[in-house]
Amino acid sequence: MYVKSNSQVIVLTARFISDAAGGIVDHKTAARYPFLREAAELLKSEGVTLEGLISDRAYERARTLGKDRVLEAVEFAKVVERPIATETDAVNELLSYPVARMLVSCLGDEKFVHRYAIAEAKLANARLSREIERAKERSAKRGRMPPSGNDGVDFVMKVADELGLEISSVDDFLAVDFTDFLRFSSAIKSRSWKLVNQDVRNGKILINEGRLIRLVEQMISDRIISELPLPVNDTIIQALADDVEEIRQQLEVKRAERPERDFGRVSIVRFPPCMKKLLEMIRAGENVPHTGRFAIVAFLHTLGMDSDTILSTFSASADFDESKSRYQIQHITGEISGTEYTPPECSTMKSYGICYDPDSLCNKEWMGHPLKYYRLKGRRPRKRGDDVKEESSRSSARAGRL
Amino acid sequence: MASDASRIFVTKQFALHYRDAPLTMPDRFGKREFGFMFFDRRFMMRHMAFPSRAALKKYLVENVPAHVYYSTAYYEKPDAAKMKDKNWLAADLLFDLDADHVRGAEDLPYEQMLERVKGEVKRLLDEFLLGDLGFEQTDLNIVFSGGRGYHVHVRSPKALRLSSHERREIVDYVTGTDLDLDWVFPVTPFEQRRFRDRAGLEYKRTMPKSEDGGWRGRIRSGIEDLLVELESLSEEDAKARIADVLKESKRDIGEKTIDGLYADLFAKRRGRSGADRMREDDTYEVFSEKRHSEAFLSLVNLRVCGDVKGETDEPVTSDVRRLIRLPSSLHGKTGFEVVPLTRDELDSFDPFVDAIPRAFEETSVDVRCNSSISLGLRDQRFELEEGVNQVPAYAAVHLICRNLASIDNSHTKYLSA
Ligand code: SF4
Repeated sequence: MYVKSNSQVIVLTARFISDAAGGIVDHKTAARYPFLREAAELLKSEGVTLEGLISDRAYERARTLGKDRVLEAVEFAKVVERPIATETDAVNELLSYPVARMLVSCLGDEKFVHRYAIAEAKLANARLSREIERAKERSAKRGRMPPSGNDGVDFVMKVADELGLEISSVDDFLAVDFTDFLRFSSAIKSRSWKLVNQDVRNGKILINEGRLIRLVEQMISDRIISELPLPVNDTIIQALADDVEEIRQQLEVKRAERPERDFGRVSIVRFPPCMKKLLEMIRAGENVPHTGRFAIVAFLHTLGMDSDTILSTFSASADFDESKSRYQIQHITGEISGTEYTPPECSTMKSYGICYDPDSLCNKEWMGHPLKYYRLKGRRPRKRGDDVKEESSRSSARAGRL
Repeated sequence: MASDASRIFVTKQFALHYRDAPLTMPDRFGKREFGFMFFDRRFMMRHMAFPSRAALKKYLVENVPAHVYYSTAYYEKPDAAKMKDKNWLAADLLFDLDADHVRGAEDLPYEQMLERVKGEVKRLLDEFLLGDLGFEQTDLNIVFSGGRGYHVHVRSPKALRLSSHERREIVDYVTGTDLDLDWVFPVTPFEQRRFRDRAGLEYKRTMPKSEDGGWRGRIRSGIEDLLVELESLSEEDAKARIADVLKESKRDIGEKTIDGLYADLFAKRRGRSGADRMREDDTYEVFSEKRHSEAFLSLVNLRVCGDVKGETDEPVTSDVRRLIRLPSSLHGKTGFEVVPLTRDELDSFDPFVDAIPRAFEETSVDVRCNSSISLGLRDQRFELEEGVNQVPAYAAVHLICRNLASIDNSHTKYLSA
């Protein structure tokens, strides 16, 4: 066995895998959808060994990202989307997936396997939704209305197919067999997913793109649950021991939090300045741009707040329009569309002009996402003089009122 | 059973059936659990398995059970004594329509009760199983239960592994449980600009279209039937009918609202009524006031949904470990055969003719009736007085099993025979 060297990684990043077999996977795609069999094969064909992955310096970035995946699953039950701009990003992102799986396997906590699988599946949901949106934008740019064939949808269908879901078309709609629908929606408790409230035609159920993605999400988490834990040997356990211990502690902290249905679980003192500001504005009845509403709702939703609580949080404002807000919230949280949105990254927040009052934690060069801010702020031991400690009695008081 | 003589007589007739009749065996019967009840024992003998048809037949002929059951599930070890040791593999999807669970059936006389249940079975098959859910005729086994109803077994491979929860979803589908009228008539919000950048939100409902699937399509055709019905009545009668239905509503819907609703639906403007526009333009925008449109929704909810919903017994379908009567066995409380049927055969099926086993004899028997009875069996009509009557053996079995009569003890020829 040999350990991959740094230079080999560069070779790996420079090469683009041709998909001679008509597959769907290049490096970036594999990085976005690492659970696909083709992504696993790509990984295998690169000859990266597990031992190398856990010890070689060349993979340090991948290991960090892998740990992030797991920690985000602990904190948000959702892996936060990272931009994949370069081939190097893609390779690191792709490699971070087996790292995360090893960490979860070392942890050996069955309940957490579920949480982690759901977190990965939610990330895939966000990315698949993006594929469709991008494809729509592309065809809009070409000056055509998106025709019924959207290559984003085609891509989602390929993913679904790879996962074993047969999709057909009924009267020009996407459709799945009703038994598949029942199987993959049985964890979704919403009334709007009940069989009785579906358009059923000759054994098929008509679904929209958002619902297709939601079903695929479920299949992904089912697949991951069935695969984990992986067998891990002593070498792996030893190499990852520190990280696993850190994750275990985080998990304990998370589990110790009381699962109250109100704001309690969500700690407003950990909010990044942008979200604090948006919340303040909405509650003061100020005019918040649509992008801002979107960001705060998606943020609160990702932290696990349910729609009703979000709504009541907003309703403090005097001229609050409940029906409109409810519709917007339910749209963003996926209750209407089936697509759950994640809050935008910092760079997007900045270009929307809603990155309000960034503080010193924001200004760290690796800070890229409001959710990352929230996660880190909670995790850091509050050392004296640490710029993270900016918690004021004012915001604690607010937390109480929420 | 009233007496030893009756029991011996019925057992002998049952034995004739089990000796002569070809047994229809469920597929994968080697993996099914079997259970039996007997005329002279109270408990059920269960956790049994039979490797072959011959073995089962031998058992039936030798033991002549009163009731024969098998599991809709198949197991790795069907004869394990504990459920958890059996190791469940899959189960047929089962629907049970029984007079006890069909609206307005339980109080009818037996013959009419069975007709009423049969009507519901046809709806279940045509509307839901063969219709919406797209099963093939060859996936379905329709069975007369020998008692107060029918069973439908679905053996399509894709149905076999459905979980209990998923099966309950199918029951809810058939019975229209939890149907969301906001889905049937989708609400689309549209913003009404007010001053500056404030916007108010109003809602518009959409009429389901005829080509829509599932309950949307079903409600749409139900509405058309309702409109035709109301159009055929005089204004006064139509309003009375509407008022009658809306009495059940939780909301208080007054006379004025009903007048308004009626006018919105049936008063003609430029030659067309609201009902016409509803049907021809697929629009729900025919109501002049929100109260009228909400009252119409209540009407749909209370009347149309009730008319178009299907029936089946929920616990039976969601139980994936149920025992059910074996087709071509006999029902000990009627003497009827549990008859497997095709969809076509169901139309003309008459249990009082077709479920009397051929093996039952025509020879006359004296029975003592508990009260006067009138019934038709095979091609004969029986008007029986209280007391001793002479009837063919097949009729005697039926009367005795239903506890309407017993073998007359003064007559012992069957005991010595
Ligand atoms: S840098 Fe990011 S987290 Fe900080 S305020 Fe701006 S958008 Fe929010």
